[in-house]
Amino acid sequence: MGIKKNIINKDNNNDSVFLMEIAGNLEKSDGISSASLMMGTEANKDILIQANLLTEEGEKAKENDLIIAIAADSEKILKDSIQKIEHSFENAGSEKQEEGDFKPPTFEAALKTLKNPNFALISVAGEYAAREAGRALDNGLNVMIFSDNVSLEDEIKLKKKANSRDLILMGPDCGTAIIGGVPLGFANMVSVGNIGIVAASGSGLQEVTVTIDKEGAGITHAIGTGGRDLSLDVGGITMSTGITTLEEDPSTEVMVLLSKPPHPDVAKKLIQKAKKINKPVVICFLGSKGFKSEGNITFTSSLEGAGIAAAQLSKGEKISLPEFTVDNIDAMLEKDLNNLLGDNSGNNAGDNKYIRGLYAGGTLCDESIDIMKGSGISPYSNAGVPEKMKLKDSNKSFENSMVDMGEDEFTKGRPHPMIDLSLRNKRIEAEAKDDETAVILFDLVLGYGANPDPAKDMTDTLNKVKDKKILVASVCGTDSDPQNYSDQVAQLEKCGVTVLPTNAQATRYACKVIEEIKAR
Amino acid sequence: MKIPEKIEVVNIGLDRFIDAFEDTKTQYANYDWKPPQGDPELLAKLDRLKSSEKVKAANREAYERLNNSQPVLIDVKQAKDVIPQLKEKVIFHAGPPVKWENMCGPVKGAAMGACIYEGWAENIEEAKEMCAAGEIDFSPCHHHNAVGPMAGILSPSMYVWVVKNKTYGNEAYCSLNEGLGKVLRFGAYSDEVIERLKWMEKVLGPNLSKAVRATEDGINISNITAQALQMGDECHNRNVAATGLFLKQLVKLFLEVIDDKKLILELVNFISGNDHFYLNVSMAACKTTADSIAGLKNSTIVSVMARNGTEIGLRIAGSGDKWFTAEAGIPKGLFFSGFTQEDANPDLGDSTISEIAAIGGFAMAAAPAIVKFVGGTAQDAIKYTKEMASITHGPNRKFQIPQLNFMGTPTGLDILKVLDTGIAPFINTGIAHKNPGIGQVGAGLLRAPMSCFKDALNYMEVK
Repeated sequence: MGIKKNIINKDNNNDSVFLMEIAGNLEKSDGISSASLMMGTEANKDILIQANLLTEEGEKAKENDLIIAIAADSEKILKDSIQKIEHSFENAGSEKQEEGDFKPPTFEAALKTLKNPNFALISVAGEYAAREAGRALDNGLNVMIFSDNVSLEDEIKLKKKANSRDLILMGPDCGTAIIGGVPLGFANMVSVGNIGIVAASGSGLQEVTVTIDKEGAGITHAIGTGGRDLSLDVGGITMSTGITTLEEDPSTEVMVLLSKPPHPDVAKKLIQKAKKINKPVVICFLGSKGFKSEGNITFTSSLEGAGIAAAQLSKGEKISLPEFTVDNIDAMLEKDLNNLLGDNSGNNAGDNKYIRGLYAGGTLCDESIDIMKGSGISPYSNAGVPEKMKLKDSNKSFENSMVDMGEDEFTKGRPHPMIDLSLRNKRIEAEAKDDETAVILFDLVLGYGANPDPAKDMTDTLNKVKDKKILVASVCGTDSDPQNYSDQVAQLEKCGVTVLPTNAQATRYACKVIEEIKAR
Repeated sequence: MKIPEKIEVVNIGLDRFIDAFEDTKTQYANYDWKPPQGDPELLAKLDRLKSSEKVKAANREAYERLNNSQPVLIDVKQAKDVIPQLKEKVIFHAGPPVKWENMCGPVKGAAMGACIYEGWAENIEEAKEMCAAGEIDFSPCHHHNAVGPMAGILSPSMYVWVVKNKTYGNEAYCSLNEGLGKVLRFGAYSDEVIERLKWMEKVLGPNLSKAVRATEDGINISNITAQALQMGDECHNRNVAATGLFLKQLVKLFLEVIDDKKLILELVNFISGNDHFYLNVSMAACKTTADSIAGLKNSTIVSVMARNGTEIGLRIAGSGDKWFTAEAGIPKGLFFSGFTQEDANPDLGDSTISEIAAIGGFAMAAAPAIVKFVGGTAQDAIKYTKEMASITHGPNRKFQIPQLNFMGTPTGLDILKVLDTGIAPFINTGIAHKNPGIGQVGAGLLRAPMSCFKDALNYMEVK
């Protein structure tokens, strides 16, 4: 049997809602069948009668008296609950108040909080991105659309609209840009310098800016165009605007143009435009072959080549593109092969012969495929290869395989592998169990937007597989990045990974490993 | 394009991108983007209407009217004397039209109570039969320039506040508030409920009438509301200050027109014993204000938002009498001892006319005490008001909130802004028990459903 008690606090006027909250909290505790705190008005007493909570004592309350009415299982619980009530009164207002973090709820309100708004970074769901971009352009803002799934029709319309307003529209699906030293989207913190870049590739742009930084040069602006800009339909509208912008920008002395394989007509048009410019231009359109110079134009076939060439041009040096920028390659190779094969080559025929590349950066994956082909290795892939070289199942490697894990089939309903490494970790473990795998090649992309400590998220996986396979990687980042390049490299090396300065070198190294295995 | 010397960024979407702006000390605004409401076709219409000069002009006019309205209490009369349609066996109810069989518990309870009160039925069984047999004509208060809190039941003999909009000449009516707990408007119909209604008809109504008629120009209601907002009320779910201010004027009038001291005491006791006494006169005032924009061509401002416990309904100034309805939500809140969320009836009452006239939930910052209904903090109250400012036309010139630097309350709920921002208007409300005959069980908060705003935009035509 429970007990019912009314306590009257004379002349203790309190807000009814405040009292209801205390009572509500009390009712949630064990052993309290009901509780009510009310001022002793006649109407309130009626409510207490209805709840079967009013006692003779409570009847006596006046309208300025507080009635504490409790039905509890025992005296002890009752006493405790009265203490709880006192505690509630004493601690009112001590709960943490969220301060200041006011986010403007409308676009107009957001504009008003800035003195001179001039950029909009849009990363909302694709179906809404075009509308937001249109509104930003109408308000005189340059726009970067990070979102994908924007229709081609909208892209063309928006790009024309931007041009008519003397603005730029970067994207859609533009992952990276750096304007005036400010990283937009997934971008690295690189040195400021005199190189301007226009790129139709997010991870490509990251790799080139980072390479430039490593070579002791720096950038003015890095303009992203979105992956479809150099298609025949879009016709390179944004890259063309970007070229003009950098041409007119006095601090830009060297220009780099970068793209995944473009439509030839569009490439031709843009190259024509670049030739008329009074500044040296490095062009890296992936899929094209070799290195050549024509007038102010230098063509390179790799991201690394573009970065190094631009850095050398910017410093007034002669262009020279080495195979490796580290000098102890042979020693590294020897060590890795010994670990894999043992001192007396216990290699079974048919084992340890393939490269398995698992990538977060799509263009890095493309660059690697190009380099491998140059070394006589034709890898299968889920992206950017002719139909006969397409992997039948993206989840299963076949012979030499290069897998872009940023493709749709891996990112449906989960974050990009630059943020969430768990899917790739699983894949690394799977590749390590495959006897045919010799090298697991991967990238680690740092910078804003990316995982805050990707190497740490890989540690468990890498430690599991390090004695089974040769692990080769490059880290796309700088020491100024939030994750710190040197720290990430050190973590990987501790897990037995051979880290090369660029993706191109990591890929060349992997190819060398395969050649050596064949030779032994 | 010329690259700006210093970039200032509006971030629309992922929060993670602002880290770079923080680290590089770049000026940025992190827009709290929410998906706009509607399919691409509707959004295209939204953009078209947003940029239409006709719509802009009409909404400006609506905003001016809401601001310039001067609701004045001019009389207290029996409903049948001011609303000719309220004849024998006619009952008005809250919200959009609803048939007896679809009515929620408390509306049914209140309607049956009214049948007994009017003497049309002897007891609850008879009343039920009568209603079910279609002998009672039900009609929304809003179809007759009237409003009613919760069930909103109005029958011919009840007294109503007669409030006139001195600027635009229109009148509006609302019943007198019975108090809290077991009351007709929350669906209770026991003998004490009926007795109280009789007393209100015989004693309270006629004496209030005498008192109000003794004034020279009536009692200006928006002045009381404006003062009360500065005293911790939002005049929908908290009317403590306003009731006090109102009573201050009434006491003087009672003393002037009534000789019987005991009667004055009886009246004053009743009024001062009910912190919500002011609510109904305020609602009539809000209705005269809102009616000043009803039928205003091309305006996308909401002129009515009301619930009948089954559905919530909107009327838009520019689409006249057309209702846009959706299923009523269930408020979340605090409950009287012995009741829980399970007992809550769906959202009910015409009292959301308050928000349409720029008070109530929209003025939440003025009344931080009641955000406790959803376990919120005083900071949340300010947030709610600021948020509502983004879906309304502009700040009120009369109703101000001291703790927001005297910012005017958000005025003129615009369906275009609601759909554009994805922010639904915020309602605070009493909570009735879902079964008839029980009454109020708590109070709480909820948001209006988006679908009726979408329907309204779909229907809107610019002429």
